Amino acid sequence: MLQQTITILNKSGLHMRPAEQLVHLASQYQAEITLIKDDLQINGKSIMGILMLAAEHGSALTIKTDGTDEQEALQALVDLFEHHLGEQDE
Amino acid sequence: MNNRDQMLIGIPASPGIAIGRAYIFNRRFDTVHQWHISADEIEKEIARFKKAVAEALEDLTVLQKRIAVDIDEEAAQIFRSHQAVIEDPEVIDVTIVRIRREHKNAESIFDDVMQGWISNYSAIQNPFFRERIADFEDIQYRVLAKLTGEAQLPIGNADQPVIIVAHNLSPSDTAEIDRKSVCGFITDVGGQTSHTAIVARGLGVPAIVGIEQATQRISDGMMVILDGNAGMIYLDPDAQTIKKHEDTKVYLSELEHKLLELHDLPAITKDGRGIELSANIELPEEVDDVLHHGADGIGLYRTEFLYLLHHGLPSEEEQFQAYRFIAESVAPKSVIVRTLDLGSDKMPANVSHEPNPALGLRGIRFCLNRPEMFKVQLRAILRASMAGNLRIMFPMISGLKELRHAKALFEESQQDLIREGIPFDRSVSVGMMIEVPSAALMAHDLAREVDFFSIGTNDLIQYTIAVDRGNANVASLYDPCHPAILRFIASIIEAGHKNDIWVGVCGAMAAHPTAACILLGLGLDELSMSPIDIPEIKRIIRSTNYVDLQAIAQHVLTLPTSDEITRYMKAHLPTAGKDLL
Repeated sequence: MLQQTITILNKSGLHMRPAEQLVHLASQYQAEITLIKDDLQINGKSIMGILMLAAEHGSALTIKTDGTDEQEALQALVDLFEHHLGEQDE
Repeated sequence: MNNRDQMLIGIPASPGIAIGRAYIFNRRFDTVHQWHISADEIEKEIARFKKAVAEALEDLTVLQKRIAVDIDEEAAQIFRSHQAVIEDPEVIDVTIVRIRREHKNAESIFDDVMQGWISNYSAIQNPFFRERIADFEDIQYRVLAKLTGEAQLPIGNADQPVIIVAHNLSPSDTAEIDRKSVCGFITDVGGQTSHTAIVARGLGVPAIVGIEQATQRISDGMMVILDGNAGMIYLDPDAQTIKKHEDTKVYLSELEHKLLELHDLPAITKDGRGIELSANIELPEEVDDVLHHGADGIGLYRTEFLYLLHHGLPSEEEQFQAYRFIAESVAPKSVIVRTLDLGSDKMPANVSHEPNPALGLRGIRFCLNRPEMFKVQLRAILRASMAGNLRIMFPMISGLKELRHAKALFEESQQDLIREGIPFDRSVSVGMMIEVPSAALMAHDLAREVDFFSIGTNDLIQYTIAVDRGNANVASLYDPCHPAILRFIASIIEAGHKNDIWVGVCGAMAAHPTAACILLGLGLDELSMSPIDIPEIKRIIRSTNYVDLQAIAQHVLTLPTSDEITRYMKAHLPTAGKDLL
């Protein structure tokens, strides 16, 4: 099991479209993916769960991956967050 | 002839005549039935659920393609997101597991799973995330409709457009309706300034609102005549009634044609007083309509529709593209961009959890509460200012403190852009709406710190008379010619002019012939309205003398009741013609 904490960089936060990007990417991995914000813990392959986090710009998220491809999954997700979840707001 | 039983009367919300079949637009299930599934039927039940899901996904693909053509690629995006929700393992897999475990039918389990999510979301503080509930309800409806075989959302066609009959239409509903397949709107609730009315007028589609139980009294597929001028609906009309309305329809289109001939002529009274006639818009695609109806510019661009249609926060780049497109399209004419004005009446159903949203976190309050979000919009507007003649306007300002706070953020955004070396027009003028009574009373002080005022009469009337314009029980009290309103407006114009700034009106009152004449007589500089109303108001302005209007307005200010004002106006201003009073 691996885990890393990141910050939401895109200005509008983890709303519908970035959440969809995230699910799309997470679903490509075998590993179980969990996102944690404050005391809320959700399935990273579920858009309903991700939106429930109501993660705004600047909030901290912990990504946990667990499974055969946990290394690749974690790297890919961290990259996506670093690239503002595909939002062109800079 | 029709007997009285076959006629319904409502509030005329958008002019014109529509003749067509009714389409009852009802997307809520009152009850979802539950029954037991025996062990040997479970796999069949799961297959039925999977089939419904696949069909719903396919419909969303169709819808997505159509919206991409009708509106744009961005607006279509929402249906891709809806697909992601339908495919969510926490919805699909959980439903399947529970059907197996609980031996209950697919619709009851699916409904329960969705309800569980929806109640979790109701507790979220941030309205942009809470607003997703409307999306989830859409999705819930869509899959349940597939399972139960109930009527689907209208995927109509342009050859046989329908008249949409609904309890109420939210912005997301109207985004989803194929505009080419609709020739009219009828709703149970709402007033002349409700969302349905605004959208219908923007689209130039006739509409009647506030007909109690229209959705119960009109049945699906029923032939209907909708007279948006009179606010009358004829159910199952005979051939003679249809013929009569077809003739009126031809006459009205000829009349509009004549009015459009005024297109290139200025809005100027016989004795030479010029007035700016501008248009209110919600969406970038309306600019063609603005130019077609001969507007002098855009007096109110309601940017919240950009947010509502995108179901979330549009990025700086998306906003910049929209603002730049509008600025370029109407240049050198000006565009007043009103910053985000999300309010109680614009939120999708079941979203607002404030006990009293009209007095809650809305307009500029919402933005000042979220400075980071607000600055994204301010930056986008500033960047787009290079493409044309943009002005900026803050909504719902209640006093100097809020105005200065908003201006400070505007200043910060300018400094940020300067630091980043991004060009913008440094002379963008900054104005504010006057729609809160406290701002009206403080107009003298506020006028020293802005470049213009635009009076938002819809809210000013609502807050001054303390009447909810959407509440049918008190809607009759909502009165643009209430003497208090006219006196308020007179004092705002005076305060503006004393401080050398111009004053406009951007509420529904601007398009009301009698009210517009009084406003002109009070010295107003600008009127902003739906593009469709511009030719008629221009005709009236061109047929009157400013000196007469001034005398009339001064006398009106002395009258103590709106009945007396109405009587006086009828006697002294027959030229206003087909008046609504």
